[in-house]
Amino acid sequence: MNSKPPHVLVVGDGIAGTAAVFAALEAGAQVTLSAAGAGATALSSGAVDDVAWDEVLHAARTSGAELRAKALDPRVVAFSKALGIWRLPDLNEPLALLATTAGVVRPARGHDRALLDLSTIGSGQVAVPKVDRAGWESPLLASAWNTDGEMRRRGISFVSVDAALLRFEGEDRISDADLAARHDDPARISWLAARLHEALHRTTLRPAAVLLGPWLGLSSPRALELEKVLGIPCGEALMGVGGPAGMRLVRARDRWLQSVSVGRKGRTAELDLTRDDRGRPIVRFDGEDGEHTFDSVVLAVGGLTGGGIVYDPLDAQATTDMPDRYRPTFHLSVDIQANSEAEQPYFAAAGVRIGVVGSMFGPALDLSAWPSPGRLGRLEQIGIACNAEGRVAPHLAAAGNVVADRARTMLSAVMSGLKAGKWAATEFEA
Amino acid sequence: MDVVVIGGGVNGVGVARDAAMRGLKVALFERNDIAFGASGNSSGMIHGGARYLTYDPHVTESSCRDSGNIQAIAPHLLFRIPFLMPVRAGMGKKVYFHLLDAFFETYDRYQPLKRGKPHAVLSADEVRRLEPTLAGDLIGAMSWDEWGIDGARLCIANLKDAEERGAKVYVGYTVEAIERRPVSGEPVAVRFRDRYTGQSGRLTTTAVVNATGAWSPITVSLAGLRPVHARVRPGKGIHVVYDRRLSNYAVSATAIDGRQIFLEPWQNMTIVGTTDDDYYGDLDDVRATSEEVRYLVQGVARVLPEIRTARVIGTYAGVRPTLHAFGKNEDALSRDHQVIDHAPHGAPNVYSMIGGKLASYRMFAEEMVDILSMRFDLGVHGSTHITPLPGGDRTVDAFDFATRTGVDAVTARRIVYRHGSRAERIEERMLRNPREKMVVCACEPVTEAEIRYVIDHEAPRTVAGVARRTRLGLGACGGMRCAARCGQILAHERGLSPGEGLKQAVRFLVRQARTRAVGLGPDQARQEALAIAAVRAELGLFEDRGEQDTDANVPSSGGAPISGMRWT
Ligand SMILES: Cc1cc2nc3c(=O)[nH]c(=O)nc-3n(C[C@H](O)[C@H](O)[C@H](O)COP(=O)(O)OP(=O)(O)OC[C@H]3O[C@@H](n4cnc5c(N)ncnc54)[C@H](O)[C@@H]3O)c2cc1C
Ligand SMILES: Cc1cc2nc3c(=O)[nH]c(=O)nc-3n(C[C@H](O)[C@H](O)[C@H](O)COP(=O)(O)OP(=O)(O)OC[C@H]3O[C@@H](n4cnc5c(N)ncnc54)[C@H](O)[C@@H]3O)c2cc1C
Repeated sequence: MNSKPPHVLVVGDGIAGTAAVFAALEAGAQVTLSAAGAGATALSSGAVDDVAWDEVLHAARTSGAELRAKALDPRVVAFSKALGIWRLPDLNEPLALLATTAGVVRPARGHDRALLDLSTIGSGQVAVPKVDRAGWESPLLASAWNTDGEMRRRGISFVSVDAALLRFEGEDRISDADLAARHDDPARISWLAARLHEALHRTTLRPAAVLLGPWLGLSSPRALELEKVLGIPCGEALMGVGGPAGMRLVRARDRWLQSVSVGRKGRTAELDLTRDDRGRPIVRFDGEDGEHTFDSVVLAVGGLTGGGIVYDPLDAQATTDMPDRYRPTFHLSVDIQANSEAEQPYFAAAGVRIGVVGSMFGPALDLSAWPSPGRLGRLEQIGIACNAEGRVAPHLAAAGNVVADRARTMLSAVMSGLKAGKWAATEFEA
Repeated sequence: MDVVVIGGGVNGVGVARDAAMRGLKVALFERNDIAFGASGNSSGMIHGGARYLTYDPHVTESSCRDSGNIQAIAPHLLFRIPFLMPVRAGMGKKVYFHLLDAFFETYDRYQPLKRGKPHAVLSADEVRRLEPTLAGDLIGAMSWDEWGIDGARLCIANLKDAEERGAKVYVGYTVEAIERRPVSGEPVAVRFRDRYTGQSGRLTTTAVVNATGAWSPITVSLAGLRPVHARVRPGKGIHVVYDRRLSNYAVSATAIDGRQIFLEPWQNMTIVGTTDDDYYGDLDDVRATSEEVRYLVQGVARVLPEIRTARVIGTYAGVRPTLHAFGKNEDALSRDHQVIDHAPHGAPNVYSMIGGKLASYRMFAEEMVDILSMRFDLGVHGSTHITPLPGGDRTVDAFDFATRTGVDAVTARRIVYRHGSRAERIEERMLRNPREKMVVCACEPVTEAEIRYVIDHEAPRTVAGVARRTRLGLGACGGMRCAARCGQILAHERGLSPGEGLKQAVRFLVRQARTRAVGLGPDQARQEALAIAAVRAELGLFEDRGEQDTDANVPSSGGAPISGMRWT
């Protein structure tokens, strides 16, 4: 190896790509990051899971075991520190418990700090302020959370309380993210704290915590500032999609990226592995004429949600009665020229290579598209095959949701990103 | 009871309404949900019966007349669908075009009966101006008028009227046996079971009407009759649903096997239909297959290529209870429905209603109740053609509604469409409790007030039942944002445990996802992956909600009609 550090291109700035940048920088590489807008990371809920939580719960119920945190790789802990917005319980600490706006209480390996972790409050009452907004039916939500077995066992109950927490005309209609953004203003957060303080004072309730909707800051978690004033844990309920948590994560990523030295590029259009005499990838970016050569590339372009994988069935490609040529039903958002069939990344699901699917609508998608207990849905399983380090071909690795058969969670995306980033910075020619 | 009606499709509720109006004591049993079968899964058109024109104009006349009757009693539920039949250039097409013109000219004579407009012959240029995306070398098009309807709402309106006139309604109850006297063979009682609680019961009755559509052969066997005594040809038909209205006109097209298929703007979306294949699978779980979807898409793409890239947001399927003999010799058959009197089979006072259409349900029900009327010596004539259905008595202006309540105009329009003058009852709720103006399902849109009203007054037992009545969760987001909330509200109104409400929400979401997946295209695949992630994050995909208490799951009503639900 020569003395110059290797130049790694990371394609995709979701959580997997960010982790790859982190690991590659740590391994001493020069790093360029290519991005093409929001993906799954920006839409995520604020829960940080390693495996699907309903399966964790199911397993715990079957075995009677307690919900305790499993060990985390120290590299994941270091990455999370760098981002600075997650709380990840240590080994054997209780798993986080989050209340969702669907009326469920669910475990999580970790979470965005703005979310209220019910595992930390012991027993007692949780105040749920009534706020006149769609999706925040405080009495209904409280009664739904109150039926949760785990909450009962811990002696936690939810009580809906009157509170006037909307300040301006129209705040009952704006989106959750917009309301969250208004709470980025420190003055507004103190106003909110004062209103909450008043509201709680008017009741005989001495709550152990306050649970609010997903409104506590868009650029960073603001729950801690409320806690300081009220002296009890305060936080958000989790919302599956459309809440501010994903945005906060993206902002935290941007802050971290600004603190390190990384080159930036737009969308990656094409990746050619065939022309360089040392086998290095030659890359073309959208909106740029020139080509760039890198020592290695990490594909962290995301899955179907992130836009890294595109489902493009034959019949949708055709404009006349019969399609004129066959293309695979799934393809990547990046065009890849490989030296041989063997080096061309291929799609797989459930360990099986997926070739050209002849039918428009795929094989029995009605039964397999969505997950069922113990089985990922095909739309999530689908991805490109790689080894445990993330290697796809010489000079090419993959990470995150673009990889086949991986649990579609935050921590598994982080872990695969860290591995692929390291591989790309050190062993890329193997 | 005088009469027990089995089946809550359009024919069953139609009979229950007419019989209750004529003073009979009626009970209606529906195993799944009102409009669960063919009635809620049709093409949603009130045809004038143009296809009978060539061999029996009387049928066309009576179809048009009854279509006019339905408009008179439920004006709020009908909407105009102008049709376009593009004709491509080719051998003999000029002559064909003239024949079509003559055909529709005859049909025009009946249009006034249903307030339809006469047909129009359009030149190629005119067609292109109306629908620029039509493909092919066209010589012109025929345009004529039909009416669209929400079949589920039509059923609910009939059901509500029946109940208001004293009928007892059992939704979610299966009739498991029809007991008959050993000698005379007449019915004595029906035995039934609540599918949600397992509780069973018995109700005595003098007569039984089997209005179970494609289920009819099974139903007569519950009375010890042979299935062939109520024979149907079960013809499965599917529809593909697209996001938004893709065209201004409904467009008819020809499938690869020469069958006539169509694309129609329907409410706030577009549907493509339909197929007709013999079906012998599970009638409680009829779903479209990807082959069927493909068949339709290929056919429609020949006239409207853009359909291939349009976004599929769902599919649905139903089974037509076609008269067994029908279709063998269409010319010889003057009608497509028939009341079977089972007296010759040894079961007097047991009747089966076979066949029919949404468009002719009222006449069919009237024929059935005329027979009952003779049997019970009522001497009263039917008046369902002049008595408005609930909501159909007066028009409510949607813009005024919006101004009075403060909901936006689109929301108001949808409420007024579904409920007619009964929208005012939803308005009362909104004014009493302004919180209920909140929109729960943004795609449709559906407010909390409407959901609570529907739960109170229209007898749904599940989230899917609320969806059938309000179209909640049937739009582009597939219920991802609203199913759980609807489940909470349902549990609250019904006194069920919240866990039960959430379980229902998951069940609804997964079932909808399955029906969507067979039509998946590029955009919807991405949306689907997002929905999976979102649902998993906040709801979880396991149906078992473990330790939540189950004692609250059993409704207190016990064996009483669940619809005891405060109909007003
Ligand atoms: C609604 C929702 C809720 C979720 N909830 C949870 C949860 O509760 N717990 C949990 O653990 N996980 C959750 N997840 C999953 C988690 O968010 C994902 O597993 C994770 O974010 C995947 O990260 P990624 O980097 O692989 O993909 P993405 O975040 O999708 O990133 C891929 C990026 O690559 C970019 N890209 C694509 N093509 C190109 C190209 N050609 N050039 C350059 N860039 C490109 C895209 O723009 C995108 O930004 C949720 C996800 C969603 C969508
Ligand atoms: C694809 C398709 C498209 C159509 N398009 C149109 C159209 O555009 N215009 C038109 O006019 N007509 C149309 N029709 C025809 C029309 O929908 C049907 O003819 C009509 O709805 C039949 O109603 P029904 O009440 O007889 O049966 P259904 O609506 O099928 O009702 C039968 C009911 O009986 C219930 N049931 C079964 N067994 C039991 C039991 N043991 N106890 C209690 N309940 C039981 C079932 O759950 C079901 O709800 C279409 C039909 C199909 C399938």
